[in-house]
Amino acid sequence: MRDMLAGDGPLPGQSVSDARWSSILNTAVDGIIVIDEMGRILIFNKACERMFGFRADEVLGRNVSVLMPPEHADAHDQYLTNYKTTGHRKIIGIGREVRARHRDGNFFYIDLSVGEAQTPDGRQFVGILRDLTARKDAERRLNELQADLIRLARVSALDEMGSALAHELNQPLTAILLYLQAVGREFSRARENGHTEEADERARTILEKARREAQRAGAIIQRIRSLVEKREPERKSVDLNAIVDDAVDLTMLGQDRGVAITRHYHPDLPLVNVDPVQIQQVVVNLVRNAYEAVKTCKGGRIEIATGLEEKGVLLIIGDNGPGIPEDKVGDLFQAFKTGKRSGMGLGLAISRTIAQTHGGDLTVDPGGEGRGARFVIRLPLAVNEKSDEDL
Amino acid sequence: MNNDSLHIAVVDDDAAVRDSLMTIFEIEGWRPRTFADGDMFLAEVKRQKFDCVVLDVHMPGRSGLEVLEALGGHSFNAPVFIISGQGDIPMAVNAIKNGAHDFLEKPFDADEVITRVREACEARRKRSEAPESKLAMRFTGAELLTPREKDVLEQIAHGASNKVAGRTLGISPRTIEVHRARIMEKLGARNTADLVRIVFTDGG
Repeated sequence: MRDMLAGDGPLPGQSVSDARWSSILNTAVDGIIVIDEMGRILIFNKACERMFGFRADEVLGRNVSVLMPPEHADAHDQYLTNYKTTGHRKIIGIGREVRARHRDGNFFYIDLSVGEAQTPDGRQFVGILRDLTARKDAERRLNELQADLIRLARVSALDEMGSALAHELNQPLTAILLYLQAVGREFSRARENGHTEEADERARTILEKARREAQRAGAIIQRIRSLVEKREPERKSVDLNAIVDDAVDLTMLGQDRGVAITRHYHPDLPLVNVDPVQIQQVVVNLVRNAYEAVKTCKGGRIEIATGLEEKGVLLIIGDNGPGIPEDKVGDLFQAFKTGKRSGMGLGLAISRTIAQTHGGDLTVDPGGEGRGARFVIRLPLAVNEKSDEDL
Repeated sequence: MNNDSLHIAVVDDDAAVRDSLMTIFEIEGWRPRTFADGDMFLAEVKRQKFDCVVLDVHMPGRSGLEVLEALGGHSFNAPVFIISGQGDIPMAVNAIKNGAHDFLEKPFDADEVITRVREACEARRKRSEAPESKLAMRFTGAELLTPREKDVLEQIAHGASNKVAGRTLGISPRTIEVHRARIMEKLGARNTADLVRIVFTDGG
């Protein structure tokens, strides 16, 4: 076709179709790359130039792997060969989020969809690329803010537990002080009455007890510290029973032991892939709430249980208190709505957020009419994610 | 100094606090016995006479205050020290109103504990040997006062400072202060002068 048009006509030697084609390519907001069966770059549009920092003439004819991070660059030719021989599609027509490599060597995330075309020159592949850097930045920022908020709530919870924790630290400190003074007295007595093996042995025994109490104080500090320290959220494979047990102990430190705690841990729980500190935070929150609900009743009881379901694990924290009044159930999980005199009313809102960022949820059976409240946290089982290399 | 071998009961649910108190009392040559909860102690106190009781306020089961009440409060025959943490001062004050001799604030010093226990035992012994109070408690409201408050009032009425009264009675000046406030409240006195006036003019 050689239609002659006025105005922005085709350049000499260029067909109308070519001109239209190149206009489309260079106007597109998304990056467009066309490669041949060998992986050689045939088309590299303006959006790609902006995205990758390469000019088209620098990459045309080169293998597309120059735009890829090492994990894909090395294997890309193999992907092409596999597709040619097996016809098995891993990305074509599907699209996915992958890493790409900028001219300056930095990596960035793109959304990539791939199509193919049979041309007179052989099979060609078309890639449409969308830069995800801005979205990734926003996501990261959001995650950071959320992590900060979660940590803030954790600190605020510990703050409210302050006097109980101080009491609990006071016990070993009191004992250490007395033991050390006792050793001092043993020494003065030995100076007066003469030195004996027995007196030495007594002093040694007392010092050993003092050392044990210092360790006990250290262990309490350690537990508290792990909950306040500023740290990146993480995912670890952990034994849910163990971290729950630890958090329950921490919460009940220095509390009136008139409240009975029963623990029913599922003996064969698979490991869960969670941020242990965040899950402990949820436990601390829920157990504290349960404690508040039952501390004034005679025979107050808090029940903690773990269990296994088809799709995940369960953690149940219930009490035999009065339950949650019907009119309070509605905004129970809303931030800054609190029925308590102290605290910010963040506990349950944050706890649910934590459960949800773990791919699970936090729900409540409010109880009432003789039944206490019962909170259930569901967490998914750790799944083996498909490897990203598997394009 | 009195070198009697004092029989001391230590009631605390914390094993280390219990054991460390026992250790310093033993080094002193006294005969401490320890109890992990109020019920165990209350069972034993029927069989054995103690010269002094050191009682934790925070305990599972019966709290220190409940144990104190079960002992008969003001009429119990030995001084009771309440162990409290820094956060529990109101509770400790309450304990003194209910018949505790004094309180020991954690973490405490061995020398201080020993001195105060010894002084309390001595004061208690002297009081049981001494004749009845010289101050005639015939003023209006006298029947509202506990024996310990009467002791304190007698000291105050004769011009003793908190410090001096504390030393005589074997309790801390702070505890005297608690008793003083309580006595003024019961007798409706606005200040110390008022108190003295009530005691000496109102039929006294």
